[in-house]
Amino acid sequence: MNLGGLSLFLVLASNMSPAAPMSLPAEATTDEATTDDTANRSLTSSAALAEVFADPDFAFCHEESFPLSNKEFRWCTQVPDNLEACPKLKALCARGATAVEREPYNPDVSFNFPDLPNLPSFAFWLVVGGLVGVLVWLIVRNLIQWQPKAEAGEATPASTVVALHGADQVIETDVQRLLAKARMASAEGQMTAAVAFAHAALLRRLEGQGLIKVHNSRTTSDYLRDLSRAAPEHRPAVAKLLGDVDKAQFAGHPTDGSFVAALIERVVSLNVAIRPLLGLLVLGILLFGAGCNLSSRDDWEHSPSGIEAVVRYLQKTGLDARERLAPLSKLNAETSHLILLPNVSVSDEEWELIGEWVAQGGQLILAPGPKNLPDWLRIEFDKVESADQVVRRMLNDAPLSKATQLQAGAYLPEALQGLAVAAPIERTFAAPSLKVYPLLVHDKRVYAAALSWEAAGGEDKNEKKDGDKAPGPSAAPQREAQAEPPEAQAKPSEAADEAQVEDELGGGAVFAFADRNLFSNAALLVADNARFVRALLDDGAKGRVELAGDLAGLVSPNPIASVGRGKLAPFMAQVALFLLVLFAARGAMFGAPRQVFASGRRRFAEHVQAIGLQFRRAHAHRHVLFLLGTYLVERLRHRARQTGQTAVGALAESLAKQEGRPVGEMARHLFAAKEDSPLQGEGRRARQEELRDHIEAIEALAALLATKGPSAQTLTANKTRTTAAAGRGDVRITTTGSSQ
Amino acid sequence: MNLNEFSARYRAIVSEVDRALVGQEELIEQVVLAIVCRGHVLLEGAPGLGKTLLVRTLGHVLGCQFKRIQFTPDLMPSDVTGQNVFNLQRNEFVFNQGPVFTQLLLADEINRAPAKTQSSLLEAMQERTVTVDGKSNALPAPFFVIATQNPIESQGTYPLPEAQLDRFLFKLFVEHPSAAVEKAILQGHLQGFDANHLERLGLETKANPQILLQMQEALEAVRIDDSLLDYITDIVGRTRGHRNLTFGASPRASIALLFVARARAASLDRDFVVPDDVKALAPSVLRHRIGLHPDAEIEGLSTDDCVSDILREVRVPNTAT
Repeated sequence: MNLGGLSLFLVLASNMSPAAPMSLPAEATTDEATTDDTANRSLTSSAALAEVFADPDFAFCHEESFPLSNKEFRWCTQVPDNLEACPKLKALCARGATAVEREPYNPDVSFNFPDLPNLPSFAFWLVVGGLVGVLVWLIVRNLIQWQPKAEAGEATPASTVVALHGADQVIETDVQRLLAKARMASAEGQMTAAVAFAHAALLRRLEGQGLIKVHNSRTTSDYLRDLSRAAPEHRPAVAKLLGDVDKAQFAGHPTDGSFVAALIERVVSLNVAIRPLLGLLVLGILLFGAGCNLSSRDDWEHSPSGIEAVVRYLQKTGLDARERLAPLSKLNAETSHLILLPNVSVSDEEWELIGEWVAQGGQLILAPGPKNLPDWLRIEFDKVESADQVVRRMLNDAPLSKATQLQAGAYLPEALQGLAVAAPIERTFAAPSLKVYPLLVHDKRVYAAALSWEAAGGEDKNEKKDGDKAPGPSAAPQREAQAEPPEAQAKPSEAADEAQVEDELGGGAVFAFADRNLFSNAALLVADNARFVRALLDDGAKGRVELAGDLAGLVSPNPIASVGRGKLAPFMAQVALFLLVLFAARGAMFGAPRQVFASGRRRFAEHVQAIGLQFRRAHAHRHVLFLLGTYLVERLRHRARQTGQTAVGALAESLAKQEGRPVGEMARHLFAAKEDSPLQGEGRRARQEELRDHIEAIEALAALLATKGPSAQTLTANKTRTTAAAGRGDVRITTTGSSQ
Repeated sequence: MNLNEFSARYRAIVSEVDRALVGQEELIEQVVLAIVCRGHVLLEGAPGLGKTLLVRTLGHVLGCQFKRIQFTPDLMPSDVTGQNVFNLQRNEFVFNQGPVFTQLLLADEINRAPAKTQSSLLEAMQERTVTVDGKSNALPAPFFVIATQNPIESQGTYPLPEAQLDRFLFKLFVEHPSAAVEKAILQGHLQGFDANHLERLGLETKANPQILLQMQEALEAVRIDDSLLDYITDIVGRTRGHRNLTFGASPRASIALLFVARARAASLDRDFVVPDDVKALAPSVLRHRIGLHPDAEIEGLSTDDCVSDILREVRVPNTAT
């Protein structure tokens, strides 16, 4: 059997025949006792429905081109020909299903911020907050600065127009505003400014086409070079135009309004085509964005499968109904009825809270709710293979009889009895618990089920409303006995299970529906569905009726999750891509570009090289050798523990003793190393000899200094090694040039 | 001479020199601009790029007297300026003019002579006179010095002092030719071109000293807007406080920039200067008048980089961008 074509309805009245017509009016199927009340509600419901669906937002009622999805199309078999509240729906059904079904929202977000300790977390969010603050400040500042000084046509102070680049002047980049400024300046006789603005408009226009890059330090030749590369075919015309601008600005020829007007006209009429590649890129991005929505349909809430009409209808019939946005973890006693739609996400903790809320009298309606139903509900939804199988599962393969249906209906609230309900069937549930009864059954097909009982010590709301039943722990069994539920369902029941269920659920009620069809916009238009929904919630409770779908708990844990929930990722990707192209095409227009210089430290050797370079340029070879010689002498003096002394003789004696050399040789090296007098030699060769002697003295001292350890004995003992160390270059002497 | 005639004459000179020195049109243009501005030029480039050929060709095309001094380490100032020689017959000192007494002087490898000899050109270049033994001798007019130096060899060279460098209107780099230009040079030599026999090329003389003087006077008709004076001042002024420079350009650089901008405008058949004229010639005018900081030198920057940096910072006058 094709379930898509099924139309199910049931009249849950004891005297109702199961073979009743599909959209049987309620008044024709109810008994005398309920006729007046039903008629009043019907009148109220009809008026409310007409008012709700009169809103143009419900386009499927007003536009013949509205596309229906496959699931919505299945309602078409239920729709009467002359549906006054929604006149176009029948016509839409004739067009078939053309829209793509809405993808269920997947709340799983793979990204999570790291779970940082308090201090790092505080620092992290402080940085994030600071960045956001700076960003907002920049945007606000730019918005303030970008406000035009005056509207076009208004009298503008001359200083505003003339000041082309004052200290606080924002650089105008919009071509139209630049042209307007040029006209204003021309009208005021500010010809220099007028020409400058027209010139800027021309440049910005070319820049907007990606042909040139504008900067206030660039000149006509720079721009023409750019143009030669990007669009050489436009170079002659632009060169002529820029040449005329140069002439007006610098040739000293008087310019008048007609010249400026002609200039503006030439700028406006300049035929510069957009760069093909850039154009294709932008077009591609736009098509990409458009493609995102080609097969989808926005505003699902106002579509036949949405719930907006349900909410409005309930509101108009006097209930405080709304779609729940707050997390289910904040569920409290203000909510009297909670309708869980399929896409709602409920955690284990939230289920626990819901259980407590039900125990305190809350009315939970699973329509059919999330997939992860808790064990204490004892409900398990399955996909329907066939209607017969469903019925068999519901009744433990017991044959469905008219009596079964009637008995099932007997447990419904009185207001629900006698109403015709219709909807396409999608799925049902397996209910091993005794506490679950079929709610809507017709022609061996299950549409929904109800779970209702009374907690130990609580009271049965239905019976309380009737006023003829006292609350008590035996209420539920009594009702079972009274209703005589199907034998097949009663068999698996055990006392322990019943007690457990009663303990967990307390005094609330749970209604389980096989699908969410009853809580959709389209459902309200069919059979007695609207009245049924209203009556289901009309139990005298004064609390709030909340429909919890995928928007419940909208508060996202992080921005990425927020983007994901809002399904904004494609849009943001598109915007980012567009900005990237804009940046590539027009450059960074968000701030003044400036050269960034690296401020890293240089190596010490580089500083030495730089200083040496300066000495070399100054031909200060002698002075450099003197400095190095002085350094070596002082180091040797420190080594010989003669710090503070100035006499070279004592140091020479000490070194001679250490090295086993003549004192005179040491003294000569010491004196030669500190020589700072100008070179005295005649001719280049003689001066080079002097420098060579100086270098040799320094090398000798360096060899002495290269010896490790301060001990004089060690120095003496390791004389040979000292020389070798000097040869390895532990102390290196580098001289530059020898031209003097 | 009006500016149209100036422009035509300028183009004729450039194109004639270009026949001998293939592929160096921009260099030729700037050298000719310097000459019509009464300026001196320092050419820097590797050997064999045609520096001497350029000057010799210019001397021929401009119809000016041309002399060459090969600077060596033992060149004495008197070898440049000349000296008084005692004439026994007349029993008096007679001034024997040195090679500087010419209209177009090629100071080849000027950095090979010591500073003392280099400085002997200072007076000649600035005041166009030579003083020997207290007596000033005027140099012929017009007088131009085109000096060359080789950037490769640093051994045994004497870098020009800043005062000397400041005397040069332009410092120009002679770049290696492209492959196509080099091939054209080879083809020219196959057809009999000889740098030592320019007359075989059939070069025409396109000017003479009088015409050059007229061209110099014609530049006075070129207008320069007051905003461009600010532009020049701004550019030169920024060289004095630049982070990568130890010293900036002198007011002489500003004056030089002013006049060469006018010359460029006239060469392009304009009677007014535009920012392009200033910007195009600023590197040639400034690169040798500024000192690079050692740190910047180590970083591999050059004075041209600094000038480019400055030109990117200075706002072009009368612009709303």
